[in-house]
Amino acid sequence: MDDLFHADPIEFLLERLPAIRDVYSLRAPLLYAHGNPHVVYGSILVDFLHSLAAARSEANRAETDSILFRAFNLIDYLSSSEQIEFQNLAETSVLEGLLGERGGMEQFAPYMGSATKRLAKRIADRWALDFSILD
Amino acid sequence: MYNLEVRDAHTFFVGGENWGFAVWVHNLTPEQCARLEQLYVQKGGTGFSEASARELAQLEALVAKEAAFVKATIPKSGKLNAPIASDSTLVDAYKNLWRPRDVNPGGTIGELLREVESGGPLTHLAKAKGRLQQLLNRVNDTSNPLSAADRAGAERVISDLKDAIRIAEARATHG
Repeated sequence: MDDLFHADPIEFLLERLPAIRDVYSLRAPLLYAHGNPHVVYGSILVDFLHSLAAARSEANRAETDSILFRAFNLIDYLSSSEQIEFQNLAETSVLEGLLGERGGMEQFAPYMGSATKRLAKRIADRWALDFSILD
Repeated sequence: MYNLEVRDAHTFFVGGENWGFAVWVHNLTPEQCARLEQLYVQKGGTGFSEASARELAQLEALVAKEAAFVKATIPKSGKLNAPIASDSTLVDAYKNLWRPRDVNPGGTIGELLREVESGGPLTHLAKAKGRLQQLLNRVNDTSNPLSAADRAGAERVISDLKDAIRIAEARATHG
């Protein structure tokens, strides 16, 4: 976790999740996202994860799951950070983006770490979503 | 209709029957807060002079001014959904400010105002600022101008975001 304390969250994302770099390069200028972690995480990362999950099939399951677990490992890093702004980034931009779509809870719960689940439960509580799958 | 409720000298809540939530408002200095509290304690007592009554009225007018401002700006934030947009950046921003599965009014703006009201952590403040910056960058990009309708919608959301952020930051400073 120490590296996170000194990291720019956008650099941290690009470093820890190389699979997103091409999408980031393409979309960041269009979304006016440079230097804006809430747009990079809330739009580029969330849409990337939704696309991955939607394209997941028997043929690509191992490769897709590997990227998804890597991404959620990063999200759990943010969720368990002692820096409240990183927790807020994970909760309000990433998890609200993932759980804000129908089926998001069921789709992404299997990849979540314990800190991520704690934040996901808070969102589910606010939005009156069923979060039994997180237990 | 809205009601102004003074819970104590440091906390003023404004709410309306149809809003679904009350909003904490505040534009007094800590010194003015302390003086207001003192005047409320003195009010009705024998030492409460006409000058004290005038001073109390002036301080209450400051609170009422803020309440009127909130009355004019917050209900539309709390009740309306995202504007319709054709520009892809605006669509992205609105999609992230208003999530389909959020059952509460106002999306991120509503969430932030409820956090202000509850006195809890301002979890949505940074997100609101991030999305405000995105909208400002888009609106101010003269190389790719928005349609009139998109601009009007974006300016409404920008205004609502600025109001909510201003109120939240006032609580963060004084609260």
